[in-house]
Amino acid sequence: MKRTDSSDKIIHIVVMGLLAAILLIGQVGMAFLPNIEPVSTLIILYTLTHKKYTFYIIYVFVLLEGILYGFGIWWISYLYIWSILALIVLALQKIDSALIWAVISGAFGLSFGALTAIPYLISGGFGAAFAYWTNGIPYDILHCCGNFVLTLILYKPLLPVLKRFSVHN
Amino acid sequence: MKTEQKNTKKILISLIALVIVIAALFGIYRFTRPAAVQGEKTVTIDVIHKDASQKTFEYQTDLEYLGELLTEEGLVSGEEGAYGMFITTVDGETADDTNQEWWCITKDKEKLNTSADQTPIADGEKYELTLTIGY
Repeated sequence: MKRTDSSDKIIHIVVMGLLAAILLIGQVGMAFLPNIEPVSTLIILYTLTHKKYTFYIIYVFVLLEGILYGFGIWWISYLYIWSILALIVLALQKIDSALIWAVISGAFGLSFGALTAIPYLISGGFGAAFAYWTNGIPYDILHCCGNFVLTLILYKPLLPVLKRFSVHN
Repeated sequence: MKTEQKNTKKILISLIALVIVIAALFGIYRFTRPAAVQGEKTVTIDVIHKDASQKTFEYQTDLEYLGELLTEEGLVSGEEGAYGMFITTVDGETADDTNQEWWCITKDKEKLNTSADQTPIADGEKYELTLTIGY
């Protein structure tokens, strides 16, 4: 049976909703491990396969996170932090090496504390933001290692699967 | 063959750069971490509950960080979060996060920039734990 444009659109919306749900399940499911999360890896893979549509997935995920955990100061950083990662991926999308994506994912994990400290810079000043960032450095290192390993493991098996469901396919 | 060599070089450089940044950040963490004070000390904790009732606890300890003192004395319990211990219960009262309640730690009424388990304690210090509503 031939698919129509509107059925394609419906499938695409459903897929994006599912991908946002997978982000949330992945984050909640691994929340017991401090700063080990599959979100960065999945956003890299989503952006490589769904390009600009990833921003819709990101903001559905961010909204769900706020509903689940409360709209605290940390939530403000979620409004830009995942989009920064998506923009980096869009800029470097020609790279096709699991190891380089693992390094990028690790570097993003390492900078996570500094990026999430920005709202504290506005609310509490430089001292509060700097203390927030430096206190979290061991967790940023853990985040970096977790992102590196997860991206290295998941990049090759997940990329072709996600490509199959992409509107760009 | 040349492209492959170039790619391997790129991967190696990026890996080395990542390791260097990790080492540098660890250095910043060690260098900026507040120093702990050794020896016996007396620390006072005021707990201000949601109904505004206040209780004072005085502890003599040789522990070095506020978090370990409060946990060992059984005054607080919490969850290990990305930026240290997040206190959820103090003196039997649990903050209801669905109502945006949280325990605010202050030292002489001044807000702390560190979590309890990263706050070194010294003799004669006074801390307040206040159940606060709203983020």
